[in-house]
Amino acid sequence: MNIMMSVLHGLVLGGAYGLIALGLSLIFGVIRIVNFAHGAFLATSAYLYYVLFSSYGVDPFLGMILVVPIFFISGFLLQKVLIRPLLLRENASVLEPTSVMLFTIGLDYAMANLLLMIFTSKYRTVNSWSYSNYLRLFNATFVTQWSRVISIILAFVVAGILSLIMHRTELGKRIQAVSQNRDAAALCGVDVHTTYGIAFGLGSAAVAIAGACMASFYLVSPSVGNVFGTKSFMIVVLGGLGSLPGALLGGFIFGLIESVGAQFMTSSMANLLSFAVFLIVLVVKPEGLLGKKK
Amino acid sequence: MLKVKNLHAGYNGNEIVHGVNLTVPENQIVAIVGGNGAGKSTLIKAITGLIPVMAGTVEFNDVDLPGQTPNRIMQKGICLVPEGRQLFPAMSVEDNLDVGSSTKENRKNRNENKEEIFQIFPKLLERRKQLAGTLSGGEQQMVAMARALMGNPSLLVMDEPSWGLAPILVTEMFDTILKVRDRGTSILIVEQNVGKTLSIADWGYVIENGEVVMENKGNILLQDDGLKKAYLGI
Repeated sequence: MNIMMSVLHGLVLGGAYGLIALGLSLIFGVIRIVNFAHGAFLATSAYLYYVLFSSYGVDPFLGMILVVPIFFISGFLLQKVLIRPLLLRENASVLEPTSVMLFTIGLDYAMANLLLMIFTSKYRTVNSWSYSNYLRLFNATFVTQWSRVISIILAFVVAGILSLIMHRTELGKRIQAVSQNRDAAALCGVDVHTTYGIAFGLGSAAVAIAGACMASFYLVSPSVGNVFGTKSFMIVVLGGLGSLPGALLGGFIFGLIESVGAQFMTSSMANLLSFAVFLIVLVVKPEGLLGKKK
Repeated sequence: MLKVKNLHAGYNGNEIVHGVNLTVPENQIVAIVGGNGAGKSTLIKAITGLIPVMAGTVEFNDVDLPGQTPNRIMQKGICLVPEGRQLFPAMSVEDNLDVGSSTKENRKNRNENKEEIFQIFPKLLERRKQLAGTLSGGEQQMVAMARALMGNPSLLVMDEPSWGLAPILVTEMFDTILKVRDRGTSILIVEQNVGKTLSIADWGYVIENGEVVMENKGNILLQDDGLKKAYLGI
């Protein structure tokens, strides 16, 4: 029974992990660059929700109406204005041009330290309705924050919307074309860098949605970027780089291992176990669970 | 309609094409032939904007092309069937065609265009839901050509279209090229298959070491003894 409950908790946690990983996976899948600033994006959005909540009493899930579009536009501009020249300079048909990698790593440090400067390292909570109210199931043997329930729902909604965009729209066809063959897409009249910008914007918007969830169930501090950022890299690699269902699957696996494992060992050991699983998958199936073979 | 003057181009500062002049008149098939490494593909890539032009001019309907991105050049009416096809392998045949007609202008008459193209390539109508990467070489070449035609080109540029095709398919493809020309599209074709290409070309250029060494009507070039010896093995 304890196991049942921890499985449920694991799924709920995994949904949040998956949601955080979706944006990262999308950006890699299309532009073939790993956004190392992903964690800092998450933390920044979490602070925006914190400010909205503490100063104006806006619930993070309502705040998404404002923050998500801001992140879309910022992601678009980041790609179009700052990353584009780097890609052009390296004439990058190469995977993950070094300069872009260094740029996003630097951006991560800069953003994280900026947050530290503005907000200090103090832990903050967004004590919203979904943070302090609980869903109780099975005679209250399963109790979880509503924000976590909302996260898992949003994970599927966001994955669904992104898949719809990718597979059912004109824009999605262009995004796919650019990700499969950049030069050929350009020869078809597709503006590659605008399309990259849109993909980066979508990935950033997705992480802003994840930020709303995280702000509502976790402590907001500059270090959340590190905690969740690193984990989301592993989740994306575990599920298969660029695969949206893979990001969700990877998230659930991590959530389950951590939650079920904690029943049998200390939670830091359980964390270690999830890293071990990650390494094993990397060795046995380097392309990830749902990734495509190169 | 296309006027290339004194074009120099190459990769990473290494010049491969040294001052080529060529013209493609309205409604004609112009061929560029030559051996491996002669600079044919480099020339094509410079014209279509895939690599920068180092010196010289490229004029298309009196508009200067150098310095423009490939997608802008495409929107001016030059579509390339690239070497090695370069399809979107994990997308269906039909989606490949849709990307080929994804500019605002081309979306308007996408459906009529598609119908016409399925008449030229009935095989693609059968295969339209199949992933492009799972098609045979001949079918992939059809998709590459169809995708370029979906962009309503006034000039269709083809880079080694016979690459990797069985002889019977090569013949079929050259028949298709004639059909496309008869629809009113000019064609610039780069080929190692010198004999077949020159036999359908209105005008041919022979390129060696990045320079034009000979030019004439296709069937006259075919009579040239030096060319026969060098490329046809007769």
